[in-house]
Amino acid sequence: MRNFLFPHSLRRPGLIITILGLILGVATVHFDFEFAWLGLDHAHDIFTSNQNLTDEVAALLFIIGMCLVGFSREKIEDEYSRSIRLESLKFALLTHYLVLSLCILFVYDDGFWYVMIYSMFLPLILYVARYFIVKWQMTQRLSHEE
Amino acid sequence: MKNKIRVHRAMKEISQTVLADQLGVSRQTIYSIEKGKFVPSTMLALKMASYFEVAVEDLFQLEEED
Repeated sequence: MRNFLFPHSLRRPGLIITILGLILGVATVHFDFEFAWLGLDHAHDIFTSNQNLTDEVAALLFIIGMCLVGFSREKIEDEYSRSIRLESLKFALLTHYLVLSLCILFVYDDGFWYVMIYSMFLPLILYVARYFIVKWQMTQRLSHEE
Repeated sequence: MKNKIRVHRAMKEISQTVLADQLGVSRQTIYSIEKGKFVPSTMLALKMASYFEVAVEDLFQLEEED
């Protein structure tokens, strides 16, 4: 059965890429950091209102890294791990849309711009967080069982 | 759904880890099934029954609320 998962060996590189993307993203969004060498000379192109690609690189690094962390196979990938993945995906999507609905009601103007930025990443963050918390809880129970 | 995997495992004197290795699943899976927190697929249930040399119904029984 096709499971659309990456090899287990890509999980650690994924974590490193995520951390790099996160640091670069926070620096870009909150401190206006930019790499000069990622500036565009042809800034009048109708498709690029932004003159520097640092934030795009940060977002891509974070998304690619989180996908590698969250969607890499376990050493033993079986039906139980698949069920945790499915439950985590459901949790992530429902929570994301609940949070987004509340933000639509209560956040306006510039604040909503930040909501839109973070809501791009929230489903991935929630999925990865819940998946690894459930796994960690199971590991704890198993260590008590021994 | 209740099950008697722990009983059959004890009769065969094997650990969760050994059973998991034999069935090609993780120890977490065996633990969750034994605790009744996870219902295995038909394929895994049949593999377990075959491993313990019993009928599937001897391993798994429906409860009233099922």
